Amino acid sequence: MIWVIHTLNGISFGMLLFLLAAGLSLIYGLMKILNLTHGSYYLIGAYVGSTIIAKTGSFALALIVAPLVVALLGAVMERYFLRRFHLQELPQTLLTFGFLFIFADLMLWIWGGDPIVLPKPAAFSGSISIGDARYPTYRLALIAVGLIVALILWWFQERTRLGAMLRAGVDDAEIAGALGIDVSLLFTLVFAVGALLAALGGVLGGPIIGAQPGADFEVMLLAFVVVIVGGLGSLRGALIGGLLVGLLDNFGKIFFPELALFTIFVPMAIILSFRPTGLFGRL
Amino acid sequence: MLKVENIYTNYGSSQVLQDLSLEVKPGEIVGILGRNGVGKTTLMRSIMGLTPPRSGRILFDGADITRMAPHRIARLGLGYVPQGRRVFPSLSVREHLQVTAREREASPWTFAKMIELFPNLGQRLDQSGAKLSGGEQQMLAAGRALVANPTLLLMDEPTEGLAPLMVRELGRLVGALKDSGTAVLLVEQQLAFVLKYADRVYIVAKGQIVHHCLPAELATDSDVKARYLGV
Repeated sequence: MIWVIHTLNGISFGMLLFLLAAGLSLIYGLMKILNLTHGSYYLIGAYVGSTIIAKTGSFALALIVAPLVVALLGAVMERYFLRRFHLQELPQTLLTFGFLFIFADLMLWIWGGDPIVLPKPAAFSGSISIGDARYPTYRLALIAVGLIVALILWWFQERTRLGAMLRAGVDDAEIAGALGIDVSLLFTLVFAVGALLAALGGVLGGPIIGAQPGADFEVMLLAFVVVIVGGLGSLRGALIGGLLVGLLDNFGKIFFPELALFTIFVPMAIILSFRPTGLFGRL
Repeated sequence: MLKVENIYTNYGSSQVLQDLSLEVKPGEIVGILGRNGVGKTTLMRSIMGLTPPRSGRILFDGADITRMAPHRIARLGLGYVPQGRRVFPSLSVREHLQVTAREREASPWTFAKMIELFPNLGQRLDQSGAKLSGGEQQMLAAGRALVANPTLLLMDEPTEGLAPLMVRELGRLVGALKDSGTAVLLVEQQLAFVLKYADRVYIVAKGQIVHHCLPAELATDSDVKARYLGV
């Protein structure tokens, strides 16, 4: 029964990684920007969420407002900073690296250095029986939310006209533009949605992982592994990669606690040696 | 409707177009001929805003589009069929013909019309653009540009790599464009294709227009053909 618990833990963590990686992957796929600020969106989401919960007591409000705030932040970053360096990889990467440090210091200044754990919403604070063990309902809800988000994103990308425009932009941004698609608007939109998803992950992860200085860097590292394993520019890759890395991380910590990230990076290296573009990558 | 006035365009570090001017009138099929590497594709990219000229100007229906964003140029009524077709691998045939669709008053090119014109595409609506044959991809590249209902269509070497049957099919399309009053700027290597469909012909060499004539004149002018086209 303990294996069921560990597997569920891995899957729920994998869902958080999916939320992070989905945006990271789409942003790279469309704009070829390696957004090193992506982990910051996650952490800002968690901190802003914690403040909203502290002020209003409503987890639901935090879950809606914090991602929107971070989405706006992402849109501003894209529109007023990254846009100036379109397709110039080094300036863009350095810029996002700079934002990573600025945001980290601002967060330290506003929320301090002590770890904050967000309270669970009342409706999901209990646990249910799985065989002879108890399992927190919050983690199950987390898995459900992850699946729902994946479904919505899939529907948006595969079944809407805007989604088709987005895929056209990822395939060939230049031609998409020459056919009348406003690719620059897509850029801003994808950046905002990517930031929103990361912040959603931050609020959702708040009750189990918490928020603390340095978490931005840690989750960014894992999100990059997910994107590399799953394939850049692929939502499906982000989901499968997220679950894979979530499970590897969880079981790795159980079987080889002294090896830490080793259990993630070795499988990543093996996958890349067979599929250099990742499991579902085309780029 | 389209006026290119004395444009100079660099591509990378080299200067490709030098003081190039040309004009397309409404409903006209204008051919552009020239050897490889003389700047024909760069000319198309300059007009479309993908490689804006360094100096000179480009007017479309009186509006200065010289440094406009490509999607805004497209929305003014310019369609683009790029060299090498460049269909979107992640889009189905149906999506190709829907994603850029724009209806205008009296717009002749609709999704249904494209299927009627290219029955092959109609049978493969749910297939990926990448899975089509070269000829079908060329029709799809034309179709996705046409459903936006442009008043001028830029076609960059559409017959490149096509089987003779497909070239005929393409000719049928150009004929239909002419009948509908859609102007075409046609860059080509195939002399026969241009001679057959164009109303006027420009010849490009070393980034400049070196000759301008009617197709019938070019057909008999073996001196010009030998000097600039190598035939």
